[in-house]
Amino acid sequence: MIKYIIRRLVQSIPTLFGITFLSYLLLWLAPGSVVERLYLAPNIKAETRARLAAQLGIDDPFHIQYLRWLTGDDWLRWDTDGDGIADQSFGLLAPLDEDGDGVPEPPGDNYGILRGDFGRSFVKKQPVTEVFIANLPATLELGIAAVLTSLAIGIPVGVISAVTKGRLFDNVARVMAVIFDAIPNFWLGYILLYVFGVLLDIVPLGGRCVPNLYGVCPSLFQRLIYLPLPTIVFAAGFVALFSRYVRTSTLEVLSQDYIRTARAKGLSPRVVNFRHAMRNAMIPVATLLGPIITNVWAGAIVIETVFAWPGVGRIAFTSAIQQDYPVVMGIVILASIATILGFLLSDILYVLIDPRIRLD
Amino acid sequence: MASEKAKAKIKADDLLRSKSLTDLALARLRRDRLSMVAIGILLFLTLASIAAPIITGALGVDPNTTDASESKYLPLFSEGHLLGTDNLGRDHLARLLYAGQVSLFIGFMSAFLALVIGVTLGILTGYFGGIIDDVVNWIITTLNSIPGLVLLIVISAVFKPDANSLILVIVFLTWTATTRLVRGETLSIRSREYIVSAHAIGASHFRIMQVHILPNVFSLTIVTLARNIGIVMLIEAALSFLGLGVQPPTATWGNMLSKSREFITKAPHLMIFPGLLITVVVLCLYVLGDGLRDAFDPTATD
Repeated sequence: MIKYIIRRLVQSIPTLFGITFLSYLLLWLAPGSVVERLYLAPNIKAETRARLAAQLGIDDPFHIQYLRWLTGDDWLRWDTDGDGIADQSFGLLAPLDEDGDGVPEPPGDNYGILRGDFGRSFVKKQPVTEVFIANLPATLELGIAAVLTSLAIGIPVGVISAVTKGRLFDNVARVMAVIFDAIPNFWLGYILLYVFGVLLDIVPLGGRCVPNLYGVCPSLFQRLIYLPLPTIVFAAGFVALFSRYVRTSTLEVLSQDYIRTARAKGLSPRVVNFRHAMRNAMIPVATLLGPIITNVWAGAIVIETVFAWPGVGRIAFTSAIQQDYPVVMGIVILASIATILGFLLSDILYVLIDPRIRLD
Repeated sequence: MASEKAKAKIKADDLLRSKSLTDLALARLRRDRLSMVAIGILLFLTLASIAAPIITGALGVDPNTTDASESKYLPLFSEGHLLGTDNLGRDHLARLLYAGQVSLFIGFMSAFLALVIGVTLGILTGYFGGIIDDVVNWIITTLNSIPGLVLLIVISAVFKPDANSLILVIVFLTWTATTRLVRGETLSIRSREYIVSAHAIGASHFRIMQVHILPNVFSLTIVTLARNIGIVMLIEAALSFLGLGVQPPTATWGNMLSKSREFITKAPHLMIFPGLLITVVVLCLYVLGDGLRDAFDPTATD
């Protein structure tokens, strides 16, 4: 088992490398200079711009910049006597006086993304990891609520569908699943907001809470009214996914010999369906964990925008609009790591709960 | 007498001619009423969108004529504006029709291009294996690990695509599924006897791929095409809704929704129709996709 986990983790290293490469390539290809974005002065003089570019190292070739972004610059140019001026540097990669004005540059202070330093937000001037962590609870709250809701609805619906195959319940459930698959989730959100927020006026028109005097949200139970609409919209697609998946796997289980044996020895259909069939049909659901995590990120962007929910998706969207590249790249990479871990976790779970599966 | 003989001969020919799997599948599809309804609705909406200039000409409206004075937020069935007008006094029906052109074009074109790339790369990697296979697989795993919509908003926010470059961006993110599917199928076909014998009689790699593999993976990909168009249309809608897709004044069903929240109380109908059209089209595509899958299922019996 541990061997398997280690092998999988090692296998994900090239993937992670590809993700960082792709995100950095996007930044590299982006129109508009990073210097302008940092100093918000589009009309600075050419020589000032060149000097700033040299100082920031953005006149270096792509692979050098990429390497520096990955591994940081604190080991490239550092300070040994504690006067805040760099006096040691790593050869030609980082000359002490990069811009050639006779004054040594300050020592490197960036640890690189491999050591968890994603740089600072251009807009908020905060470290990216702080921005991410500050917005993560809201997304987790919504994502977990949505996944739990959809499991609570999707699993029973799937099992009952399979048991009543071809009859009314099954047909209605399957039609509903296709419809909820086809409805754009932001549109469903608007419709629900219009009906419940505007016409009936029983839920707030978006947001996560009314912050208290300190600008902090009160505890979950005092703001439950904000949760149902985004959760329903978020869960709609997942319910369709779960119910379809559970239906298929239940149908497969129902055709197994041990189910026939259970029936033959006179157990009630209820016991057979729910104790024997459902438990075994649940196993493949574990494999959905990976895809679900991908979908939570994607759904978060749209749903958090519709409902003005202050989570990671919303910050990803606003940062993309404001071209706040460090935040955007940080979120892409962190969300991808979460996705990779999700896929790994679902594979491990699958092996753990199904004793029939052997790893080798 | 002679004509009867000829008729009998034609009938015999008909019986003798072997029916391909595709013929059988299409025959099955024709008997599937739900799929035929879906095709009907899709055809109707596509034709209506293509005929947008004719229809709007006949109604005397234009999608981009603004009227800021009197006729903003006109309700349904107003004088001269069948579906009312939007926040700038533009005719809603005309915009819906023209938006259909763009939305449907993006959907069909992206899914088609992704299919072409997926089939080509899938066959090549599955057939040759080796280093190409490893590299393509690495790219696919990488792209699949990044949440698609996150990457899509980043690319769109950075490069601000128009309708055509948006297609390329969507293709860049969606070619992976078909490629994996075709690659897997090619791998299993590659070791069959008829491929080995084709090698033995000296057929070139290109000929084997073209004559022996392509037709066999074809039905597999056709089945996924309808569903993929639906998925792409939802992606485009979400992106345009976020204001990162096709920019106004060019209308798409997605970007018509992006501002509708601001006048949700004044003119709720502006929110209803674009979303309804997306839902109906995607629903039809999914239903058709399911119908195609059942029709092409080799274990199905007539």
